[in-house]
Amino acid sequence: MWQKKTFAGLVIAGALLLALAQLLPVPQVIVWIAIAAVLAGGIAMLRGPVAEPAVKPAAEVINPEHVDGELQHAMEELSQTLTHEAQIVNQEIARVDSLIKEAVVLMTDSFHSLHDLTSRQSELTGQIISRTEEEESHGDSEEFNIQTFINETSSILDQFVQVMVNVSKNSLETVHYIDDMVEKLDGIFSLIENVEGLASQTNLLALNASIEAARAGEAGRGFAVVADEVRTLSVNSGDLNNKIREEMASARATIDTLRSTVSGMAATDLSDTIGTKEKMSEMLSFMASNGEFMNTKVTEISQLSMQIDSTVDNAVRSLQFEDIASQALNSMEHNVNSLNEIAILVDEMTTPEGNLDAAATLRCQHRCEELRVTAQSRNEGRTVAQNDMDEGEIELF
Amino acid sequence: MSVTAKTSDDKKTVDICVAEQFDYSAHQSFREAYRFTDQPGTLFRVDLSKATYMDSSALGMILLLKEHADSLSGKVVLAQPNSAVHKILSIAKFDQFVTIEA
Repeated sequence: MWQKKTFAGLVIAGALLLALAQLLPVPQVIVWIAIAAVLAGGIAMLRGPVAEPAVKPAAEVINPEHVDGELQHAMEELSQTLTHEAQIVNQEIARVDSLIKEAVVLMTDSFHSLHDLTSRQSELTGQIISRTEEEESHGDSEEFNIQTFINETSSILDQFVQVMVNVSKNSLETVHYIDDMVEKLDGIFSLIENVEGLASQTNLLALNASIEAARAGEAGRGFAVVADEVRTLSVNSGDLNNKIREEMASARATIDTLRSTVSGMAATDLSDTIGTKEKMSEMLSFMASNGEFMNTKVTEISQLSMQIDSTVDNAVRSLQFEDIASQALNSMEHNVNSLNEIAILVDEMTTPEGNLDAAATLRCQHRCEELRVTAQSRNEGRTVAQNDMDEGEIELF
Repeated sequence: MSVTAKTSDDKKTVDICVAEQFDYSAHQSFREAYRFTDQPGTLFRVDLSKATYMDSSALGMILLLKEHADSLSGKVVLAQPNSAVHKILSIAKFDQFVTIEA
């Protein structure tokens, strides 16, 4: 008789194991063992009535429906343990579910703000790019533009050089005229010398005349007065010549000063200008290469922003796992509820008097079968629908 | 003298050679080199191969020489300036109206 109870126990234990196997990710071997146990127990129970008849009369002494204390106790324990385990599993499911939900909310928020930040970033880089393009296409616009500034400075520098060269040329021309004038002055000096020679000859002539007048005596008295006057005139003209010479000398000194002043304007060192000009062209080429470098880098940054966006999209799509996980947890709850139901059914299999309730046992068997079929079909449906997260696309808002 | 001048036998070419510093100190001798040339169509060839430095007064002198040459329907050619001198000539944009021979 105990064989039948053992088989029944084997069936229940097997069913239990199967139910647990659905619940937890146990190795395939254990599932197979569980199935084997259910099958073996079931077959043995079916066979039981055929093999039993010979022993049946002896067994009738005891009530065949009676379950002895030990088994009843074991079944009670089984029922309670099932209920307890189911309760703990349910509690853990709830905890995992809420943890996942919280984490997903937090991650979704983070990804959304990351998405906002990257779109702001690409907006900014876009502004930089459009601004640079604007500058390039409207190089002569009124807006401040360093390249225009440098060009203007360069042309001002050119003008400066032109002015400087012209000043030099004009100064040199002036110096040449001054040189010509000095030549003329020198000519005047020699003329004055000639005039001085005339004056001294006149003086000598007047002296001779007054000597001749003295020799003529009374008759030459009038002539002596004229000769004296001529002599005075020659001395006066000598004084005048000296004054003219002095004036001319001071004019010459002034002209010399003028000459040196003008010559100071003629000569300017151009080395600094050359240096500045070279720096200008260096700056221009640097600006050009720098602008180009900036353009390529900013374009790269904007491309990176796009890549970040698509990465964030992928991450957000991956957050769908919450749906799948909570559905999985939900179905686990179904399985645990099944376990609870089985626990109640197992409990009902024995009457309070300690007898085996045949109807209840049958009910338990049928219900177990039903539950197994339901669980199996639900499991199949789930594996088809929820295995692949990439199938769904999620739009960010 | 840093400036030496030589007029060709047919009087149609004046060679002016400026050595070392081509600055204000050369202005009188530079002027004397062309001042009394009055042959129409004279070619003034300024040899700068020995000049090491040039300031703005040198540019002024060349301009005055150019004016003189223009008045004679002549021509001015600057020959063999070194790189520093050539730089000054191109900054003053002399290469746009005077022939510069390398």
